[in-house]
Amino acid sequence: MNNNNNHKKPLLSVKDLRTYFHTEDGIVKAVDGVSFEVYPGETLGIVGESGCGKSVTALSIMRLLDEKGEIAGGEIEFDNMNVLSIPENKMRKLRGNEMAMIFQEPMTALNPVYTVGDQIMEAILLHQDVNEKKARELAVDMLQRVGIPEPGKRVDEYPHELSGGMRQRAMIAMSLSCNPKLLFADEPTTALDVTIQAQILELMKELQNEYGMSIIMITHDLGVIAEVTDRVVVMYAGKVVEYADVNTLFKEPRHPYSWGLMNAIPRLDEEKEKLYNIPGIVPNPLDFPEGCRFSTRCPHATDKCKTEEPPLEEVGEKHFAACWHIDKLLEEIKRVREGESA
Amino acid sequence: MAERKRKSDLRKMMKKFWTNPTAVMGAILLFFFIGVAIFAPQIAGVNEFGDNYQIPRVSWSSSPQPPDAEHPFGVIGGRDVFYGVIWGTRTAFRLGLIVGLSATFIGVVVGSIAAYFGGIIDEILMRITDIFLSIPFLVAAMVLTTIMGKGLNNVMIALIAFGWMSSARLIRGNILQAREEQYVLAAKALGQKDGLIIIKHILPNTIFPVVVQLTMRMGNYVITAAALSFLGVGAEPGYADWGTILSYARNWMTMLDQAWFSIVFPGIAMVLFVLAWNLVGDALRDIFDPRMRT
Amino acid sequence: MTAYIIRRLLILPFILIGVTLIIFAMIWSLGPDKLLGSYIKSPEALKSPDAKERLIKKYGLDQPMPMMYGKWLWNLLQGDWGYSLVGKVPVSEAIASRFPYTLELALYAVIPVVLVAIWLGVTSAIHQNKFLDQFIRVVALIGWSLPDFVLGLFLLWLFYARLDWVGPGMVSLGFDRIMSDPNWTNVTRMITIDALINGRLDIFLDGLKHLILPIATISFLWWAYLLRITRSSMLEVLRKDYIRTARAKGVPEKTVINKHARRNALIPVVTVSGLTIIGLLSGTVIVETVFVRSGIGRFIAQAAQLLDYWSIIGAALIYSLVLVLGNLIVDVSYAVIDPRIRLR
Repeated sequence: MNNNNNHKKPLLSVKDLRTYFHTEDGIVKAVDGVSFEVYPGETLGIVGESGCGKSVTALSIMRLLDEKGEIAGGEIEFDNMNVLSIPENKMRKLRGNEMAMIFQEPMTALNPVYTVGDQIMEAILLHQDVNEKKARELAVDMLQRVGIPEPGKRVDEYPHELSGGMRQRAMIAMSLSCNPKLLFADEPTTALDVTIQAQILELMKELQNEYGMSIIMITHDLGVIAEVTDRVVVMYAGKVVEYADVNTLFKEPRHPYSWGLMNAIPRLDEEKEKLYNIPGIVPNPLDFPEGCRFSTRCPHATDKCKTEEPPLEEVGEKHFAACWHIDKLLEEIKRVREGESA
Repeated sequence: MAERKRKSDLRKMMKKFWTNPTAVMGAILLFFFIGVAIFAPQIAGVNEFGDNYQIPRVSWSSSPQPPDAEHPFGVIGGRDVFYGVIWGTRTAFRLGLIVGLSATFIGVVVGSIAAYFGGIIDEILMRITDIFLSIPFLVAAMVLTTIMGKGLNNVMIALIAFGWMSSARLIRGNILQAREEQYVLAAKALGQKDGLIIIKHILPNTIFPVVVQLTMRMGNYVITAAALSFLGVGAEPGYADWGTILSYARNWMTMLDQAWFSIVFPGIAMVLFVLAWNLVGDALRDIFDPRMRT
Repeated sequence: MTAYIIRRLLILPFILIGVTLIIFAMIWSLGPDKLLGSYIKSPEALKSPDAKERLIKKYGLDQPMPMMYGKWLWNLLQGDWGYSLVGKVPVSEAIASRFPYTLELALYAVIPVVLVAIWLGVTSAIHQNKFLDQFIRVVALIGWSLPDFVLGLFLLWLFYARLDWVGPGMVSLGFDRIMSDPNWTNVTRMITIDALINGRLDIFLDGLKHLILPIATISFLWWAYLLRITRSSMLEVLRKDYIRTARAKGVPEKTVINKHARRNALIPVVTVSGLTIIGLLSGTVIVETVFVRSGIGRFIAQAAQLLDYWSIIGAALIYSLVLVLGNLIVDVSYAVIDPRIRLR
């Protein structure tokens, strides 16, 4: 797809987004100063371990946080609108229409007591000026497009009557039924079998070509990132640690966390069993370490890392990373790659 | 590791309990009743003519006497209401604890056996449970006490006989669910015996809902026992029991203005007692069941 | 779904046999001597010295339990439920004449209980932790802790002894005489309905007035219980992914609650509503005793005091039958609401 975004205006731009949750135990800064852009027709990946704030980022943009969550700062601009200042009833008209979302677990994300068709038609009837008969036709059509066999029959079935892959297809049909400009896909393949995963990703690529919407792909799986995204945001503990073109990220990672994630992918072509894991655990969101939040797990961390927070700086062309010791990482990568090729 | 985690969880739960205003209110009420039960002889005196659990007769006249200095809660059926309410607290605790613990114990045993053996044994035990649940609790207890005769012991037997089913169902469901959990699968993979797994791994993790249920039902047992006394098939007349005092009011149903104190005082005692258990149970449920947490 | 209902129907006879067995076992444990007492209508019958032995033989009271149970069950199915000392008529007749009064009370009580409880439960859940929610919860908890006979006696004291607004009984004095008149047509034996059939609006209204306090008493506890179930079920459902999906689709909040959440939340509530009807019915024992209403609740209470075993057994069987059938209806309606169950 095209990387030539220089002269395009972004569809979505997020600046310094901060989302805090007020819990019994204190304030959780789930998203703490996140910025990125999404251009029309591209796929942006957000990758990170669970709890890094990637889903919360998406929910914040759609303004679907529960009552404990609060957007404490930042700007979100979508299609020339300031999302944070749109009144709720207008925001509702955007949801499902201009921006849509699919979720990880299609079983629980579909309402068990209504048929698949009912749920797709609901979105159509809400946002399009059509009657019920027409909405049903559109729903069947949509099911057909996402590759569900016998859509005329499936439309009257309940979610539990479909297989996992079919449910996710139905979910996609529902989210695309109003032809949104932006689609959030929150771990859309995680709950599915490996073979089905590939089919769903393939389907999403096809539909993107057909409809031209932008996709924000949220995942913990770098395999998915490599497969479908154009550009990538790497998140750790509520912050963006690296932001780059997908090829650049895989070729020249500049943050130790990104590098760690890459090494954690099992590689089938390698004989050695060793599966590298990032040591340590994700810090407690109530009590993030001072300085660089990755410093507790980083092999290169120094005293500076533990006291001063590294800014997100341009390290290459349209390539940003937040680390004090990019040079150290470069050496490591060089060493490892030489070792591999030797 | 797991042991330590459980302990720190427990401490966290205790903290949550004591910062929950309704829970604290329930606990205070409960301690109040425990105090009253312990110091019953000091508060209301003892029966000099026999069993302390018999309310002494203070009058041979059957007409009620309104509260005065000597009998602060009045006299009904020749019995001192104050004495009955105070000593009735002991009866309520005795009844609630014996019935609650016994019924829960039977339920836990039946439910564990059903879940552990599964198959035909499970089917049979659960159908038996269904059958016992098919007779309304109060009606079943009435039939049994009528047949066994009056007396608090018979009331307790009847309540236990028809009160174990809900814990059996609860523990069975929990065990079946817990059996699929990772730590149980791990223990199985290590070759631990099934019985040991149930006692060591499954019960400690499934017993909390049972404890909550026990607390919530405690008041219910006391109410049902009192209802039986009220209907005349519970404790013997003159027994220090809240329901028994209320049953005296039945004879004055059309002249309740003269006997209001025989309803109001034991009634308040009963409502507060049940409320105390329910408040505590409610708070415990919120704490143990994180999904319900607000 | 049909298979599911058929399976439930097939279990039904086993449950009923189990219930009769438990009840019979209790009565059998009395022993032949005590059991004999309930067959004898006058002391004359026991005058001759060997009368007791002879009568025990005659009624088969010395036979082994399975034989006796079989005979009892057979009689039961024939409609011979024994003689009622309380009613001075056969038990089946005594129950048939009293049951409609109990049913009338339960039917009037159930609709306000269920509707109010669901409404308040949903309201409480969507205002979670706000003042309204806290208030509803506290009232519910107090209601749940209030024994029905205490509340009943209290209401009777307040509205009868103090305010003299309405007394115990099912109708006012005078009306009962009209109702026992041969000209009075009994169709349903439910007072309010028969009053309308007989064209007596005054008796209808009087009957309703006498129902208010019993309904208030009987429903307070179940109202509180049902409210709590609805609230927690609603809270749980509101946290589900499909609610977020609905919001992400742009569904208005009102529709999210009324369409997507409530129907799912009501699934467990249906079960509990069924239990409520059953609970209301067994609550009639107390309420009918307190408010002097001649339904089968008061009947069983009177029988228990007179040790009138056959009446107690008969009434207990009726209560159980209603409970079992009620459960069946609940399970079937559950299957109608929740499409996932229909498959099983």
